Amino acid sequence: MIRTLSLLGIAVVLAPSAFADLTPEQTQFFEGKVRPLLSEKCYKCHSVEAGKAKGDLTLDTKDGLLKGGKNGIVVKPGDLDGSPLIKAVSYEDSDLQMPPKGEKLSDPEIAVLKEWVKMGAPDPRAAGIKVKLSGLTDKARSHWAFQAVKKPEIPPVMNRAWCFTQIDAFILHKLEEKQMTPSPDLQGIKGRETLLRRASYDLTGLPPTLPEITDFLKDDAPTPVAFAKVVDRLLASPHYGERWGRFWLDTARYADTTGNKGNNDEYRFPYAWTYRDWVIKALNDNMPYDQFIMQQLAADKLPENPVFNLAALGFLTVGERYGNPNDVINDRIDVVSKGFLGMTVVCARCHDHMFDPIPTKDYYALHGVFASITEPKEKPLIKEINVKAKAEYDKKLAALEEGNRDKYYKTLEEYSATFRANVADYILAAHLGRKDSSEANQQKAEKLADEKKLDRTIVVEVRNRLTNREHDIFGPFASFLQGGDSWKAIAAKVSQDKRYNPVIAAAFKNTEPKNFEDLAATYAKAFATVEPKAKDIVKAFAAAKAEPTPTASIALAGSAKPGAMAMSQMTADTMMMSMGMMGSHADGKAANVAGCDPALVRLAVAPLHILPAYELDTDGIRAAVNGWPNQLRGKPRFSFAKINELMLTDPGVPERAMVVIDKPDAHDSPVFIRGQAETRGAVEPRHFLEALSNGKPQPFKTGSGRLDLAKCIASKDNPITARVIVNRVWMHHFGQGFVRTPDDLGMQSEDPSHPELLDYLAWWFMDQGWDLKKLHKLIMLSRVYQETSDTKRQYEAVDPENRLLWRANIRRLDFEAMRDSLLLMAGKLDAKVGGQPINLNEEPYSFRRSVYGYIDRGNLPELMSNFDFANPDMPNSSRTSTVVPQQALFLMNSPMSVDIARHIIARPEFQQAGNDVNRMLTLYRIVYQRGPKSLQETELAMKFVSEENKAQPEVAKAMKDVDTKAEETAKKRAQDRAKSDSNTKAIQNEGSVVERAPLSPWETLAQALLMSNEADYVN
Amino acid sequence: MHPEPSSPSQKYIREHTASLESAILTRRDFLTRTGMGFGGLSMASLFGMNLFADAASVSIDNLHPLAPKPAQFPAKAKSVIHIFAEGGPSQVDTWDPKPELTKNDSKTIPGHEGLAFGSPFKFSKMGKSGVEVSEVFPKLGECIDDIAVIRSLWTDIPAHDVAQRFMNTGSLQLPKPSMGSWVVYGLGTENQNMPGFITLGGSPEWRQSSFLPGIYQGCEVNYHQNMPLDEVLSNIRSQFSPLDRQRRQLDLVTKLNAMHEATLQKDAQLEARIQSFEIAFKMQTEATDAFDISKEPEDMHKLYGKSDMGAKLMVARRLVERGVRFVQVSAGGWDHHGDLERSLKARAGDIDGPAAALIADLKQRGLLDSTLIIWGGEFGRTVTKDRNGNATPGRDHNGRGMCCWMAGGGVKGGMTYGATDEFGARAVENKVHIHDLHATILALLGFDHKKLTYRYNGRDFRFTDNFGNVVKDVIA
Repeated sequence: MIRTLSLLGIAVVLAPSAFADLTPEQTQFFEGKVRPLLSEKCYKCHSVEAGKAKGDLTLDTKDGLLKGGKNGIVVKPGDLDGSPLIKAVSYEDSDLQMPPKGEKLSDPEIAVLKEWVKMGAPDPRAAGIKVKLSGLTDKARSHWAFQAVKKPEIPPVMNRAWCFTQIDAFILHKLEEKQMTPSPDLQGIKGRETLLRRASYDLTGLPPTLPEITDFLKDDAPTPVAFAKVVDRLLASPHYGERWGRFWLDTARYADTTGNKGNNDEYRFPYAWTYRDWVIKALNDNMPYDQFIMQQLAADKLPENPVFNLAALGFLTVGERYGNPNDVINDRIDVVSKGFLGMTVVCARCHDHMFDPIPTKDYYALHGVFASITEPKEKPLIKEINVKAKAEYDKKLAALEEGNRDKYYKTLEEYSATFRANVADYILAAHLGRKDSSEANQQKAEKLADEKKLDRTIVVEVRNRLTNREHDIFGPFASFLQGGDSWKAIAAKVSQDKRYNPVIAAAFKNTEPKNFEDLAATYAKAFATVEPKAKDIVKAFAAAKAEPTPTASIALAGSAKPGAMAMSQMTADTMMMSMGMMGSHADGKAANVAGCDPALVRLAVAPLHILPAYELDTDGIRAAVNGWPNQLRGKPRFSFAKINELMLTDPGVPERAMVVIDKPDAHDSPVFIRGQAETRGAVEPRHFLEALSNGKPQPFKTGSGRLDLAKCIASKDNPITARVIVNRVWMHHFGQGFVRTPDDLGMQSEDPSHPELLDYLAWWFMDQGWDLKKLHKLIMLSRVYQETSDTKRQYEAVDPENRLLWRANIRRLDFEAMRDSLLLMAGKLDAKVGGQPINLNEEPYSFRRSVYGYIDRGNLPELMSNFDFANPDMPNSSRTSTVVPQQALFLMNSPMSVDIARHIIARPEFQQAGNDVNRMLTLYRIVYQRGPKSLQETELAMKFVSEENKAQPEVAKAMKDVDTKAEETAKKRAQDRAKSDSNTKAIQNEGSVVERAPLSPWETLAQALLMSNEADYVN
Repeated sequence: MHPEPSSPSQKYIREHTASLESAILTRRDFLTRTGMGFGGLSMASLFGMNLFADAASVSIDNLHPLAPKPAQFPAKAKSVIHIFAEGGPSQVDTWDPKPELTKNDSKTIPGHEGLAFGSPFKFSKMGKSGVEVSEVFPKLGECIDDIAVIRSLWTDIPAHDVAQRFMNTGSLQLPKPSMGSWVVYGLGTENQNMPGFITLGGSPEWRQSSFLPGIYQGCEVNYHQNMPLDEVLSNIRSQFSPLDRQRRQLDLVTKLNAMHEATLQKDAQLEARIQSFEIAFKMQTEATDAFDISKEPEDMHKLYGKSDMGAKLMVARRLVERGVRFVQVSAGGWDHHGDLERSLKARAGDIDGPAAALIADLKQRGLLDSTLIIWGGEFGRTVTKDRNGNATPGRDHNGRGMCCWMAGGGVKGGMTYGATDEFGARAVENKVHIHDLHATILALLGFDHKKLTYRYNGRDFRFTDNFGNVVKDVIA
């Protein structure tokens, strides 16, 4: 007998022996013969212990064995033919052979299993062990990254003299194990040049300037001593935060847009950049990393926190927005878990994590946290405002908003007048077109709507209410429709009915309608009575300036604007309104303010609703217009895009933070079975990840739980937080981390190249107060950082990937470093820190650093995607590095590249060089930040220049026609762009387009150097 | 393949560099050439596994991400031209005749609100196969024996932006790589002097590479008839230096690079970067040449019809001919809420001649077998009247019933697949979901859609998510 129970869709097969007590013989048989066999041959792929459940089948628990797998049961007690297990081990079926790949069991082994099944498959293992597909196994729990960080012993080395720091001992120890020695130090003039370039790029993303090179070369102190000063100087530079901030922004999947084109008016985040600026400042100020975490999760919860820090919450809010709130929550869980913990928690959204010890319950424990937060409409101010600029801005904004209000009232007035004039036809068309009316009537309705040019959306709206006796306007009509009495009697009753609009009700007084046309005519008469007053009513609303007293304000610093509550009340009203234009929405409160009779207002503005001027700021109009019929919505050309642009580019815009706040009713989330919001499992209390809580996560107590979560992450007891950040810092200094998947240190990641050093640094970092700049310094003052990148043939074979760091890695510049270097070399880099995002890609070119570029995640500029900019839709702490011809084309042909070459040649250092040899040397110093390497190099360049000098007239001739036309086109484009009021526009650089004219020979040489590998790599 | 068009740059191309063959390195070639054994390459990338897609390790896929790669199994289609009819073309007026609907015109029909809208267009049997084609497609009708019409297509959400995203990326909401990106990721591209995936118009979302490396993103050419050639691709031509000077400049760069490399471990990426400049140099002439339809003879211009759409499809053919893997042509304007009779006919008239010309042209060049043409929109339309303020009726959005057609690339011609109900409103027989269509397109290109995966952030992603069944019946 087999019974199948369906529990939550999972078929559980209970066999008789599952209940029966076993005889000692049966137990003996299982333990002696069956279990060892299963363990040896099957558990590898089918056990909770191994964390593997191929075909969803586990055999190391009784439950698992009974449940079977994806293809159903595996054992039917007593029935050999009905037990797929027997079929599989016998290799009877070519599609089902277990163990697979010819590891067939021996005949005696097969006989054991057959006998066992015949016995009724007795299984003495305790029932009730939870079958989990997750790796919540001892193996997964014991993964190195989830173990407490302990200070490892500094390993012994033979060549102690080589070691500058503790780090060196760990590095050298591994090298010595392989009988390898580290590469020589970077010393002497050439060595110092390389070291300075390496350090400058590492800490600031920029090459050293000429005076910086001179200073370092002139320093008489030994290189390590002189270099320590350089590191201090670079760490103190504001460019440090720009460089390392950009790394963090990759992790934080930063962008300036939602990516959701479906919601065009709110496509941009007006204040994402304040988060970007916060990150830069926090790093420049060397905010301790644990604080850095706390701020980004719970800045609003920290005591005595300066208002500026609220911008940190942008970490949670700058992600993509695609409709579904659960996807937004998922994005936030993703950025928190990958960003801070190097864990892929979102894999557990639909099922327990396949590899890491993350059950689905953990995911929904965090889901509850992010389901319990919201973003206030009014974003808090975070900075003193520039009064003058703000006044200018307010003026511009007020003018645009005033214009929008005028359009709103004018449109509404015209539209409702047309409706009143046609109200009888609307009612008849709606009545005839009812779904249950005859075909002839439906066609009549169509014809009527056509002839009278009725708005079909409104016809439908009216139709939906004609049968609703409760409706304040159409209730009377519904009463006649329902009948039950003479129409005269109904008319009398209706005229007394307090549920109905008094004007409508009164119109039916003493009438005796004969047919629906009469009813419609009565309505027309009623509506006509408001005609003389309609204009005044609209005017009164347009003049309604009084603001209701605020009843509450958002509990956030800086949210100073009175009436914040009125705003949210209005939102609720507009939401009601969007449920249907003719919905019975009371305009009462506003009508009182405007001094009008609500009943008249209702008829004067039907089929729409009217809002008083004080509620109609940009958001208010947007929301109100959303409730309008489609056709009407597009008619007035509201200046939304213009306002959007103003908010994003005007210097007087007050800086606000993209904060989150806790909902007053913070709550736990249920587990969504298979990730589907419709199928809900048990409610999971909000808590931290089980694997990082010693197996006993404590429920979060305060509000949404964000602060508790932040404390759990930014804790010295958390085994993984410090490891993750230390690994990333190391990665950016050496080109690869100890673990090369910086956002996943879980079971699927490779083993660290230097596990002890990783742990040591994690311990040291926490011990030193989570001090990032100290960490940089420790790393950079280590000898391993100061090795040359020259190769040693014999080592290439032993360690081709240089995992042991027997030399320095050469590293390619990323997009920002590449572009910013060009600007610095040109002598044009605009050192301004922070501000609204700018257009990076189009002429006239901006000279701001790339980190300030406008990032539209819905339309990443070609230039950025060609140069492997990180996908801003998900956290990405390392970028792919592709080599494609489009990158070459940019350096060869783009006006920007040409412009840079021209600016380099125009630099005073070059112009004052005196002779060709000095000119050439200056050029090398500017582009490569070094002196001449060889005579050959010098000769090559001199020869090139002299030949190009000869060719110059021909070049000029060849380019004559091309450039004039191209320059005109470029100018025209720039002008068009300046004029457009697209809502995706960013701040455009002032200045002119690049002059289209042939390059001089020296400029051509400069460009060649920019194109070369040496300029694109750090040695 | 036809012989490469001779170009003025030919004389500057160095013998030892970047010819088509040498630019395309197999994995083995690459290792031999750079003489570096396993140096610099992770084991994973050597074995074709993308174990550390987000690791810092240099993988060969990143060095030559566009090198042609074999499909998973032999297949006919080597390239794709996707004509995207955005807006949602009506199925019952184009490829799905419904006499029952015509019979009930202006009457109520069961299960529908409003009045039935019989197609104002006549259908007749065309070709040897006798598939019924609407009179709005007289010329495509003549090609029907090369066309497989899918009449039972359906999609999830009939809203433009969502359904368009779904059709092009297989994802309703979250940004995922586009069809073209997946195809070029899977197959690379045949011509290293051209981008592998080119779009002629359309939303950025439909060409995004999302989490695939940026190079798989579609390269947008906002092409129109008579477009200046140096504007087709960004930075494709220098406005500052003529080719001969660029050649000399590049030679200098090559020498500088050799000096730079001297003391370093052989590095695949350094080598690849040197190559990329040679390829870029050649691309300057070859890529623009592909868009230069003035080089086409007059009879070609006549065949394609001298219209903007004709020019676009002629360019599409020239691109495919040059080895571009995936071309997407935006051919929208099908959102006919009202005034359907006039405006649908006009839209159909725009595409009919050029699309038929494309089929005929590819056929005569022997390229139809290897080129998969897909025409279709993001959803279908209702079978009842919608006016939306128009005097004459149109149709509303409908995701439950829609149609598309495919031709060439190993598709069976002269057939229809699946069926909608008697009125044409819902797919009922052999239903084909958008994921199924995607799976079928990949199958035509030689991929098991379940196995074309990309490891990103700890998970293997597919174009078809966790869905999709191949419609085997349309594959010859």
